[in-house]
Amino acid sequence: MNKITKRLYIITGKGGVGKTSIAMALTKYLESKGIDARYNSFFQEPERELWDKLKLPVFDITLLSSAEIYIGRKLNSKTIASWIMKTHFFKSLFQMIPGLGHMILLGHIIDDLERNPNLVIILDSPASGHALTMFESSSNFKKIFRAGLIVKDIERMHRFLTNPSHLKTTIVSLPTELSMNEARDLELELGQNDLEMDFNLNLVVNDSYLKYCELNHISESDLPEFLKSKVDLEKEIVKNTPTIPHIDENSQESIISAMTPFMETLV
Amino acid sequence: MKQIPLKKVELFCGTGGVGKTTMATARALFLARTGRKVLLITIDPAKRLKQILSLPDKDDGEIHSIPLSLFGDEMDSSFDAMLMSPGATLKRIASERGLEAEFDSTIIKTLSRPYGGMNEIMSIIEVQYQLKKKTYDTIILDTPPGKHFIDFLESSEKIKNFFDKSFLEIFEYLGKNIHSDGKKSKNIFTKLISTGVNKLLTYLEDVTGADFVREFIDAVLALYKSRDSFLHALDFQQELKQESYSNWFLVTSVEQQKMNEAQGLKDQAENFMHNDLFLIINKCLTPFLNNWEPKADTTLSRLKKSMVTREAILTEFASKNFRNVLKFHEINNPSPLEHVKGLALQFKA
Repeated sequence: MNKITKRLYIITGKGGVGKTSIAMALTKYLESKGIDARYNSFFQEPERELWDKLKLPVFDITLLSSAEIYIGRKLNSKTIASWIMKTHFFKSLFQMIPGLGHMILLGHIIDDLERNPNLVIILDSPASGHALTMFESSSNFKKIFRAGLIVKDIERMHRFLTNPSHLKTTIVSLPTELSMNEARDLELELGQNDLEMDFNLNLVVNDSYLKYCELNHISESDLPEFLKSKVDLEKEIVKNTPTIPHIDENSQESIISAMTPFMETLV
Repeated sequence: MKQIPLKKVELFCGTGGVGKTTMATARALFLARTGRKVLLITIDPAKRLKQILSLPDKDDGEIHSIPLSLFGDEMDSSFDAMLMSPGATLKRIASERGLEAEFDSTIIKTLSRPYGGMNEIMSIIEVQYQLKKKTYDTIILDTPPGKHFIDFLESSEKIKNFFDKSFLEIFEYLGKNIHSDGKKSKNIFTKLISTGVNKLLTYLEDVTGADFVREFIDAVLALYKSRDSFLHALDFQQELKQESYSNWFLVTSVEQQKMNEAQGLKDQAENFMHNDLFLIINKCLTPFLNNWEPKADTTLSRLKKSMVTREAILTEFASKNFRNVLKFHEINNPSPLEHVKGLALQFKA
């Protein structure tokens, strides 16, 4: 493979733009290049049936078991960890601060990336609001925890994430004005973060009819009005952003398989 | 297809990217045009409403009057719109109860940020507050996408658990213990708990830091002092279940995955929903596809065929699983306002 891969790929964007399909297709693409790449569903519901159909390599761990492993590692005791996880205090802590569980999971993922230098993880990250909170949350948690093992770990996570060769973030958008505006807003927000993190941001446009026409040698003059207006709009707003073509398939696994060859631009 | 009855509350739900907020705004416009007083509240922190209606930044939690002239209407009328802000609602609760000082804690502030964990509970309290004012004929709720919507529905259940007696006993005890004046005489039972709890606390402090444990307990106690506001929210859940009170709109679009997700939401929320549940299939292409005649045996004719088949299969699936199905055709216009206008017209048909 010509490009050197990063260690952690974050795929984000608003709801319904195709984050999950792209994250899975990227995992399959990296795997096809001989890389030990694994998909993690993070905030999304795990779709185990689809993973099986795709034979997708995954990093599958639930929030609670991740937290239990984490606390166990920190206190050198699995028994105490499982005891703590059963207390009202921790249960309510997790219920009230949902970001806490995800931060611990991210810490867990980074832990594993540090232990295994060949591992690459693809995070199917939450709709943009969440993604931002996720990164903000580590500095928020630093503020509220101030001392203790969690803070030491947050600092370690920051060190890992601030290394420019470790992280790449892709914001997925659709070729519509609303979606592009939202994606560019998110790009701006992530770019202006005060976390000193280099997200290595890039934007990609999914479901492009323009690219579909190019690939299938369809002349635009043959398009019906409702598709022609889609393509015209796309030309106007997408400009130089890399695109992934519209895929004319019905099942999700065929869509993902058809997308896989177009994933190089995300590496 | 039956007529959509008029109700006090209308809920728009669905997974991400199906056009929930645009659809809810279109419904508000439609009802306002019939002369009803409408409040549209969006609980979706994605802030799409802000984009659609070009609302100003940074004053979430406030009610904005949206003149119908924004949509090119000549009638001198309007509807109200509001972006839910958990922080603003919490502030009101604090000032109602004189708890401003207690609520001025880093932990509570973190929790009441959008996505901080109290969004759903705060939204229910806000909706109740707006309903009590009796200013509106209909309140339209644009709910958070997917599983956050289920969280929204179940949040009153969460409140009940949160203020669960045994939980509070421990915290009240801990609160006293930590501020250690130790005035109250302890019986054997509380002593037993306290030794166990202290042991646990030392472990917790290793993980989270001692200050955090103290502050967290203070924050929980502050919330406990305002528990009446929270517990009152339980009534709303009961009201929502009544057919005479609410309409449910489950929004989806013409994709197999989205349709499965809609079915999943319906199954998960079955306890709350009733007969007046309307499935809205958004972004339908049927009227456009019917007028399109590509040359036979070309890539385009195959594209048309697969689009027609997809829509037919999904429509059949929908009418098998939902009593009321509304199909809305796609609006071919880049402007979000035009989308709202185009969809509002389709509510009439």
